[in-house]
Amino acid sequence: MEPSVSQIHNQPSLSRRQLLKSAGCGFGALAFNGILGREAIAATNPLVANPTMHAPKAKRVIFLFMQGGPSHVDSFDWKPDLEKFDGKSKTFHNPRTRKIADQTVMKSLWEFRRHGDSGAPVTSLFPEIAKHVDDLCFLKGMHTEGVAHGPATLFLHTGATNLIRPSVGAWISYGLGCENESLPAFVTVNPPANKGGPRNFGNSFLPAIHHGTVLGRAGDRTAPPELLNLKSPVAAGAQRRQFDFLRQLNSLQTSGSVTDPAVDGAISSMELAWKMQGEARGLVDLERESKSTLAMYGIGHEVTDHFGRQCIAARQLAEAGVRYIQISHCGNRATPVWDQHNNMPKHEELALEVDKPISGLLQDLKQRGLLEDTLVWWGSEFGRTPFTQNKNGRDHNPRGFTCWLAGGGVKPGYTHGSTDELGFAAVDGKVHMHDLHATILHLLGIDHEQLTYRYAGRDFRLTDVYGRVVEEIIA
Amino acid sequence: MNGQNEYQLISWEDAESSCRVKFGGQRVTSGAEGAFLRVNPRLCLLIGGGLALVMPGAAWAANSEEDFAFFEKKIRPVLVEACYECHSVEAGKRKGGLYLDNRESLLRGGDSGSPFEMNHAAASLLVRAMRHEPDVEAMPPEKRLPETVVADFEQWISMGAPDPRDGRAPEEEKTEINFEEARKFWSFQPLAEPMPPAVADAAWSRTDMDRFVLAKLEARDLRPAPDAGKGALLRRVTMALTGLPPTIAEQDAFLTNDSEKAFEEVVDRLLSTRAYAERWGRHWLDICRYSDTSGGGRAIPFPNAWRFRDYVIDSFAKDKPLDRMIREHIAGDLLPADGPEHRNEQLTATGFLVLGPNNYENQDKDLLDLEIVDEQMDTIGRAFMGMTIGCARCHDHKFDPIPTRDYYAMAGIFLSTDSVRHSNVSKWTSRALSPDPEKQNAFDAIEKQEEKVEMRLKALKAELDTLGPAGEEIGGIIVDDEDAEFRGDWPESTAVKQWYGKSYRHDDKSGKGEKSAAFTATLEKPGRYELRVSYNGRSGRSRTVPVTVTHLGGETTVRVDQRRAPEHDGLFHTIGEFEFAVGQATVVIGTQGTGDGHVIADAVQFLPLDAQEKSEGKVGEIANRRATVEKEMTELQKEKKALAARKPKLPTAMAVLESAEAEDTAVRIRGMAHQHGETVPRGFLQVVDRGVETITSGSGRLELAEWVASAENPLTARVLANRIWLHLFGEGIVPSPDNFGLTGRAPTHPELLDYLARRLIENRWSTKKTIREIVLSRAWQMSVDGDEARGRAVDPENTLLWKFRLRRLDAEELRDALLAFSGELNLKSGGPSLPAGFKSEFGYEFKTKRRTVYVPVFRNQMHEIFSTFDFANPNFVVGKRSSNAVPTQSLFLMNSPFVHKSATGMSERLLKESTNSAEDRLETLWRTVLGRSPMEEEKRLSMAFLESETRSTTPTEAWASVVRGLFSCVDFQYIQ
Repeated sequence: MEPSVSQIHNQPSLSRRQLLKSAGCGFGALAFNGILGREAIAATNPLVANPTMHAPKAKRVIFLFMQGGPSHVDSFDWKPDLEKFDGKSKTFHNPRTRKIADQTVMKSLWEFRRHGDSGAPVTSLFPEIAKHVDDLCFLKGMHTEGVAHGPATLFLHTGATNLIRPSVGAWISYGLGCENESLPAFVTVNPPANKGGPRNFGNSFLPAIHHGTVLGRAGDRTAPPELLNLKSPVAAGAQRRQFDFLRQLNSLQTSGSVTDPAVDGAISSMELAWKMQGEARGLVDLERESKSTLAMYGIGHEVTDHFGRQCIAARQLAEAGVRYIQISHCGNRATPVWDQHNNMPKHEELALEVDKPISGLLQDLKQRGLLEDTLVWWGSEFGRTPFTQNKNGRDHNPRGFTCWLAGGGVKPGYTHGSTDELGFAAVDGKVHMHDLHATILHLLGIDHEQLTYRYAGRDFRLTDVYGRVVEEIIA
Repeated sequence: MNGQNEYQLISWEDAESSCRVKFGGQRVTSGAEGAFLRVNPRLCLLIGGGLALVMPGAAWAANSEEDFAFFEKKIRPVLVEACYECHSVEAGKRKGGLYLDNRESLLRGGDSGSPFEMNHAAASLLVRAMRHEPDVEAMPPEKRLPETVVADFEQWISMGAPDPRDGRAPEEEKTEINFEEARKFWSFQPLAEPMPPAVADAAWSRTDMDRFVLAKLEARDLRPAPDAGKGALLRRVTMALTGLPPTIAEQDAFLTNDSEKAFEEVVDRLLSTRAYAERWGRHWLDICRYSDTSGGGRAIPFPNAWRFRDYVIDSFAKDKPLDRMIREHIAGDLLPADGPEHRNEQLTATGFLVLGPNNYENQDKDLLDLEIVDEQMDTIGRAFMGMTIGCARCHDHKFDPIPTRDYYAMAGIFLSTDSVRHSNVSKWTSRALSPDPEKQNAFDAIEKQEEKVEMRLKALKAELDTLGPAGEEIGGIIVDDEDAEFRGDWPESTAVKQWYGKSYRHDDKSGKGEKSAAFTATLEKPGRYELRVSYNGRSGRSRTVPVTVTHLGGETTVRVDQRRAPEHDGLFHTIGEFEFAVGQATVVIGTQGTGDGHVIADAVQFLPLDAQEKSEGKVGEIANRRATVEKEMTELQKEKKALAARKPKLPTAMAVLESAEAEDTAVRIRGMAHQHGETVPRGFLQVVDRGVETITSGSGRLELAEWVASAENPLTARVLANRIWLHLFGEGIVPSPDNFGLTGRAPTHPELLDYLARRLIENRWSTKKTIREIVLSRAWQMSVDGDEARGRAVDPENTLLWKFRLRRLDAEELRDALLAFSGELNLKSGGPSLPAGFKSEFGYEFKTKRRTVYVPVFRNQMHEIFSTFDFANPNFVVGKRSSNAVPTQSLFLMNSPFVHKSATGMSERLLKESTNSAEDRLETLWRTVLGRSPMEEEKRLSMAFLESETRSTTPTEAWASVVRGLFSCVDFQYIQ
């Protein structure tokens, strides 16, 4: 059984070992000691004491983060009016300059076609993802906060543009713990190093155990998805002897009357680390996969290899029981990869890198029956303007954009919401980023209004005082 | 007013004599009897004490029945359907403080003010919200209502918002904070003068502090733990005071010194070291959220942050009074100084206000200002007073007695302080450090001018973007090159300034005679048109470009000299007037006989002659404005360069300065930057109103600093005393060191806390004296081994201190110790943290071997030891670091290259420096790392382990394995 938040809060003072056993989740349990000892929870939060947490539709989330703002009007949000007014001048409220001004409309650079039984339009940018539209649930009335990358990226990940808040994954780790006692609940593969960097996967005021564990290397989408310091520099035999020596040394040093719970915890955590060295090393391992599976993800192909590895890592982590897995298509420059201010055609190169791997991931999850309880989320910090910038580019657009979800209890082959005729602002079925966060928590069985943490004198939520569960998209 | 209007004043009501009714420009004053009520149920707005009835224009009609019908038909159903859910008494919801189900509430509006803009319905908040315009909250939030519905509301407002609904606004629940009552909370109470309590075991107590501790223990029938052994005590005090382990020589000296003063001498020695200042300076930096980069979106380097760090360390070295430090942090630039060095020291201190994690790229500069101020206030509040002031930004603090008014009273002080210079990506303020105040002032003045230039440039650039290309709104019909038909290759270009549309084309001075460009317009009206072609004239162009027009009169070819600047806006050139029928008309730009230069084909304009005059003006307007803007921008760029050249070349520190004008600021409704409420005079928190001078001139920072650092402020001395106690005992008397409010934790020993706070003040806020008094107490010298059975049963968390608490090594202690053991530690003090030419923290390789306090602190890419071992989060005030034992720490200790390298280094030293037996080496190793000799079992275990390792590897590696075991073991990781 998973420990619910109420249980955590109502336990007076268990020893670490008791918790370790009773909670059934090594990482989560280690965190409890932190929680119990803290100012934050000591004053029990009445909202969380009796949570009406409901049956979850999804057990885990895989978030595919396309950093920089892929253009919705060039990918999934078909606006015939853009063709009609292409090259013409139209009046827009530019979110960056905060002024109303005439701008030149630019049609999609790629052709839209309808796909699947649902007939969802997708451009030639994503021919592989297009094959899965009947499994996807499009949110085309997305809107968010922040017009620059930093604020908007932080808002996407933490629900705040500037204030220091825990990441979505950290909240989920805090709310749910994990399914596997040798693993962290929140793993992020090659996260962006810029635009807020680690704040995007940070625990902020939540206990440190909820900090996203980084596989690979921040800001490097080509780094292999591995955990730091997992490999011992010494041979296996020597390693074993070394650990035995340490164990015996510790047992000598703790044989006296001193039985401090902190020391007890430290020793448990050493044991866990030792176990992880064995277990987690094979966690992300291409050797286990068949040739056809690798091909499905585009692994072995120059263009798709790196993101393919991330996608397959996501599946393997999902299978291993990690709750929140983020993989990122990002770079280490000041300008994020999907940020085409003056060169929209570059979208094509980028799409090529991710299209096949994502399609492979969806197919693989589906054929393994994992898609049912895994929520896949494809998205970015914002979309792009339907008008030009620097002739051949598009600017940031937080007022209307598209993301899609799949599996995990959302309606398949469904589209919710829309932007205006030109694809600029969300007008119908609007979903604010706070709403999306609320919905993701809901699908995981968490009420976003009840998942709170008391810090610096008040109860904090991922969704602050906002957020509405988008019931319309729930299957 | 347009049209015939009738006014009917129906009733008067008693009120004040100053009330006037304004009817479409006519004013009627109520006189002494009273004021007016509505005529019909029409809009009444209270404006500045006067009552204005607004009856806009033609929409006003005598017969209100029609208006009501309009309301019933078009407005009420929408309100019921789309709004009542969140804004009605019946639904029990009043989001944004707004009810929409009765007339009075609607008129009054919600938190964001009146929903109506009577003279300009489209600008009404209600309409803008319904249109989902930016900067207002979109309503209804999930769905934009059809434009026809919004248009109805617009019309309704233009009509004066007739509303037949009755019903009164329900009484608002006003919750005033009762400060009298609030001040009864323990932390707001003045410091008590507690007498050390009587204790049964008087012999145990060495100091007054001990009696406070013992009394609590005795009350629960607990015994204090026995005294710690000398070895343990030396390691404890050396680590606590300097963050470094005691050397073998130091151990020998203390262990062989039997004098009663031996420990006191150790304490005094430690307090006089630089290592002490580095250790305790770092504790202070934790609450200053010190960092070498900005964090936020771009993580901009703070190349001068180190000056603030060194200032803090220097201050601790010379034991600067803590109240003095706080004054310098908040208002160092305003304090009197003894000479230039002192002045610069105090300027550097204000870096405290500028070091925050800010998103300087935020484009909404008003919001950015408020965010920065919020961060400053939150930091000051928590660091020095344990108050979470930030909570009052959007609404009155839910728990502590801090109304929003107080927040903005304080915000006014910081908004009247310059700590950021705006431009596209804004920048923190810096101040020059110089012995010459005149140079410093010149520097400040130039920086202020630079900001003005930057902001003007930003505004102009934005205007240029909105103006669009020259000729955009030209009348007639323009056929751009994008729509022209080209024969031959005509490359697109924007190389030479001025073109119509997105670009122009040229013939590349090749294929002469073969290439041509045909511009075809579809004319809807027959008649005479003036024809113009557009090109950018300059040398290298052809003088004889043939332009052929097919018109009613036949075909005419005009030769155009493209070297001459066109006469209209420098872009269009008139080639003549021609008669056209309805339908297609074509103009061809040819290339025959143009061997003398390039031919430009950009656009052709068909200008109906009657429209000419009008469009001429417009064309001129945009082009003129463009030219003016561009000219101003060029001048500003020049000015920018000139300013940079004039700026004195001086070292700078991050620091603040007073704004040109100090101003009070307005409450922001629900914390929204652009929604202003009432303006509040600058001031402090009312709940702590003692010892405050009112702000008479300037920002008020000086007065604020005085108020915070005053001995009369009940919070500050308590908070600081608690911080010192916490770093020595591992836990505060108040276990929530940054929160002394209602949601914080209560002190475990309230009298002891007040006693300590008083001692701190009596000792003239000296950290060293306070530390000395505490570590010389018997309570601090207890063993970590107490009466476990009784202790666990009565006080499992050891809040009453029946034994000393074990403490895990922190990130700095671990790294410094390992470097010291391998002989690599560089003890150089102070200086820049970032190497010259440092650009980005990404991929930065931490190579330094200096003490960890000098390792750059990055907000985005922390040093691995920092992120693994719970280093203070540099985005927050961190009074107490978390201390989670997580597996990544064990993995680091087992496998990281750093630990392996240090262990090898130590092993080499052991083998080199000690040529004696393995047993001697073990002795050296244990004493160096753990501060004690090995136990017999440890020796046996290690000898056996060494033996087994030596069989398969080199002596260095075998010894390194033992060393690594020691680095991970409990007795190294935990300080007794």
